[in-house]
Amino acid sequence: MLSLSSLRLRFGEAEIIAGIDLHIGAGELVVLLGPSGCGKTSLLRIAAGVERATAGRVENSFRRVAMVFQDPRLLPWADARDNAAFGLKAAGMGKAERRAIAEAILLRLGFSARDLDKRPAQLSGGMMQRVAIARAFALSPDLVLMDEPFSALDVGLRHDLQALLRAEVEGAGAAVLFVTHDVTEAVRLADRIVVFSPRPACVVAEVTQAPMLASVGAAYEASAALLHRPEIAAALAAPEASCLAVSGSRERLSLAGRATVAAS
Amino acid sequence: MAAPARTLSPALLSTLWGAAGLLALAGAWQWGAAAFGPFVLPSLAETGEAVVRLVTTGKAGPALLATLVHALAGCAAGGAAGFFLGVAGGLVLPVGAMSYPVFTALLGTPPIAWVVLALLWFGPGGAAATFTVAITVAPILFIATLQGVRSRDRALAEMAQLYRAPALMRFTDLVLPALADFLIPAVATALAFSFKVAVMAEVLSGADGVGGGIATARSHFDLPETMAWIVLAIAALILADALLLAPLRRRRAGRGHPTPVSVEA
Repeated sequence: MLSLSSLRLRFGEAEIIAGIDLHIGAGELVVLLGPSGCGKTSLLRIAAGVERATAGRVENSFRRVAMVFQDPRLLPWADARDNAAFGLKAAGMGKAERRAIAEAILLRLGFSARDLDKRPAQLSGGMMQRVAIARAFALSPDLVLMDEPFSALDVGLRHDLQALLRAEVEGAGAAVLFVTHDVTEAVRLADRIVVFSPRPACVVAEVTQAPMLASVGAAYEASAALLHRPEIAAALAAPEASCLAVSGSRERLSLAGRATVAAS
Repeated sequence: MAAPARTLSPALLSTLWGAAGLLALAGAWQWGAAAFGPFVLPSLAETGEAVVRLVTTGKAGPALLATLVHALAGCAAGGAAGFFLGVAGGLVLPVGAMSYPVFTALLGTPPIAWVVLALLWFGPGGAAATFTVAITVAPILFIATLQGVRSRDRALAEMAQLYRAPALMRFTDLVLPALADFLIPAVATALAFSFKVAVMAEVLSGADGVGGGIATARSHFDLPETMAWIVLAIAALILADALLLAPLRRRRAGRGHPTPVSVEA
């Protein structure tokens, strides 16, 4: 489990995160939804251990953690197979074994055998992001941290990669903490959506739902329903959002597009 | 039915243009020889005869070997020193900040001054030539390496940190390949300087080698032989470039990093 308790972050005078409690269990896909620049990425970096919180506690019992960034961050001089095998090489796995694992994942993510030898400069943006996803899942991670990985891609490609990601997550049983500012993406992917206020970030709503990958129409309806909730609309559109109390209610989103209280 | 149009490959075109450039140079040389006479510029034929004479009498081989040893030993020693200090300077700020002005001063010192100092320190002979090459080459490699390490991709470094890549892997898989773009042109420049400086130091120190041959030919006012030694030195440089650097350039180009650099003769 990853537990972030009473997390605060300040850069000098600027308060970035204003007290957040977040817990992610095994196999759960949690989407952090919030406006650009609200502190979502900072929280992800704290969870990854590359940024230190000003206050609060981070407990991470997941042993294998991988990350997918907004940009693919691939080695330009290495081919797709070796890029996907980077984490395995770092873990000390032998060349033949790691390349075989990387190859199998890349093929599952839609690569052809010819594409495996291509270097990033020869790949499209979507293909590069698939390599980045393969690099993360090659590790058989317990937890994957994803920072707006599809934000630079067109809608069709995003939908393809969202479906691939969801399949990969369900196959691997990994927990995922996924950052986005796209409501529809959150609704399509998430088991649980945590809505952040504009900076300084705090949680304004938390919604448990079934992921809506199957139907684009249902996903749009559910997105509209979320945006009809005043606290979420305010968080995503205006700076004056009020934070959800730690003891506040959590809700389950129905497919009909209405939010109904499921648990307290 | 019209035959399909044939196009030449870029590599063949490049070779053809290169050959055209060499022909133009030969033409200008021949014109200069005809215009100014053999006491200013010997003809291509006279120079060719001198080259054949140097090769067949067995003078060329040992001299070229001596110059190659002076140039490559100095280049390797100075290059290694510049490279390792450049890596250290790029990774550790105080090392880089302290070393940069020192190497800038070395870079600005004329090689002829080093030859004179080396003659005083080491006496006439090959050591002076090797030292002069090393001290000339070190700053070139230092500055290129320092810039390469400093301009490394921080996002890739963070990715490697997150994937818990060990320090050695970060160096071999991230730092070194990124450095190649900076190092290959620097090594090509260093190699060309090495030959020029080695020959110059040999001329002044009376050491064995092409420079020694040039000094002897000059003392005999033998202009065709002087030109023959120059042609042989350039041929040796091109050979060294083809054997040492061209494979590296091809490898980089094959990895999507075209490095259109050739030796500065």
